[in-house]
Amino acid sequence: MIRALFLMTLALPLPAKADPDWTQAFRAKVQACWLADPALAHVKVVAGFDLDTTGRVEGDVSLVRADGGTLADQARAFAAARRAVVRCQPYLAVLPDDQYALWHKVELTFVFPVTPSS
Amino acid sequence: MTRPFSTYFAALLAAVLVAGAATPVLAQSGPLRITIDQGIMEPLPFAAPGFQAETTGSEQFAADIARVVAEDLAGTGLFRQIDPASFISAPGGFGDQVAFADWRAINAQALIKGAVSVSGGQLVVKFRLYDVFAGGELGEGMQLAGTTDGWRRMAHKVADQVYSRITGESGYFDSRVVFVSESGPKDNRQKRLAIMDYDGANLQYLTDSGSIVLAPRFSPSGDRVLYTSYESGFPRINLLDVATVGRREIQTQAGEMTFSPRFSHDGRSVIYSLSNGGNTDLYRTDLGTGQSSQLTNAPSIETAPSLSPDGSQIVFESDRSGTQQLYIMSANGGEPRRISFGDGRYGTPVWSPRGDLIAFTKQNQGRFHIGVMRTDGSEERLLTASFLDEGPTWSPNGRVVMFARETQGASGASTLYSVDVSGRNLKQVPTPGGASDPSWGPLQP
Repeated sequence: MIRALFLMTLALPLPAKADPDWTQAFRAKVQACWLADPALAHVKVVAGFDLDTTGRVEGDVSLVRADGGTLADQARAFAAARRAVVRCQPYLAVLPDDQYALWHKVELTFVFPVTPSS
Repeated sequence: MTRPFSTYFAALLAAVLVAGAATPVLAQSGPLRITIDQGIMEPLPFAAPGFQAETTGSEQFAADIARVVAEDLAGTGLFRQIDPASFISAPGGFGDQVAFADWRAINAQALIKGAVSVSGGQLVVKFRLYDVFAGGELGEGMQLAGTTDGWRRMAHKVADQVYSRITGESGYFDSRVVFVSESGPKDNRQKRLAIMDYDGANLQYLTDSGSIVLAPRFSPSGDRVLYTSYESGFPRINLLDVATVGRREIQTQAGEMTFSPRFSHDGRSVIYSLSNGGNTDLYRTDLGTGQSSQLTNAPSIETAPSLSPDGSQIVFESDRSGTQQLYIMSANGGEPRRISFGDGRYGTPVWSPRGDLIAFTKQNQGRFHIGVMRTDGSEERLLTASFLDEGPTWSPNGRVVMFARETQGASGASTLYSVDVSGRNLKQVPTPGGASDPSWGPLQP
């Protein structure tokens, strides 16, 4: 039992820790290009894409999944998310080039915000 | 006390699993997963280094068109024009290669280049839009032609194209607003219908101030206006042709008062309130045949009807519950369902052209608000607050709401304001005097 648990702990891949600074910087860079339409509040879309080593989108951005709103809302939300990703590239300035394995595949979840009542 | 090894490894295993769960986004085998939940409304910086005058006599048009395009975009609150003093490279000719690195260096996300030529009263405007960071054109270059007196509309059309290509939604700059122009003191206010561009330019009066006029409403194609006139001493619905300014009273169902008209989505009929014996209900009259039908039949006051963009449903205000609230029913009548349940009173609902939201006036605790909610009444958001805000109307793309704001006191006056549907970018719409009851028309052809 002890041995089995020990071996299990050794066998578990330790999660590769990304520097929170660069994930925050990556998030901030995409956010800066995202026109979040308040009319799409509660719509959530996940955009998936690959980045090349220069931080540019390789191929196209794809819709991984979408929740909330109508199908038309989800289509508009994904279009806005895709524009944000494409417009803000390249991302190499905020991504560590020695950790390409961590960021060559990306899934960004865009949660359209609800504007608080004034 | 010695901790058993099995407990130690179990704890270690649990710790590793918990650590893994806390940072699953960073596991090397899967994609990097990040959630973005704070979309910015920070204006997108753009450079518009002036339009090139290609012929003698086009210099002023080139300058004016570039100015209006920039004003349209910056006025949305979604774009910010970069100060030309910070430009590194000269704009060059219309067809010249763009030095993208120079525009990236000043953080220009979009670059607008244009050219203008004039020949015998004919004006030709060309433009190209560049995505600076992508290093290429955004859409194809476009050329517009018209007469020189239509230069403002051509500028608005360029701005609509730029807006549409960047945001993915249609623009609203080449549109007009009909409203009630007000002059004179509060106790003897003169009111007449007026029409202007969305930004206050090209004002024209459509009626004189001989009788009170209220609640003008554009037809879906923007060629006609319905309004309530007191010319006969009682409120009656009139129809005005915008091009000829010819007008006539609509022959509605017989009643003491008819008011609060609005076109159906196809422009062929009018829905309105009719008052008889102290009771007010909603009716529909076909403008072609004159046939009328009653849509509600209740002892309460039903008014301010507005159709959904597909014409299938009507939102209206009613005091059937004891207070003024919003209701939705089928366009042919039937049992309405209440959609407003917050504190206060709700009125003047208007269905968004996108179909997803309803704008309204709310009165609560002595303050007036313009707000929006989903068509099922959820996600109510108040966009404004003041002594008196009322009468919202949507921009053609459903992005902006215009309304009337009146100031307090004997000398108080009403003026027009607009606000983004997010509640940002509140600003006054320029009018020569007082103004109320705006109705925003569609994009012009």
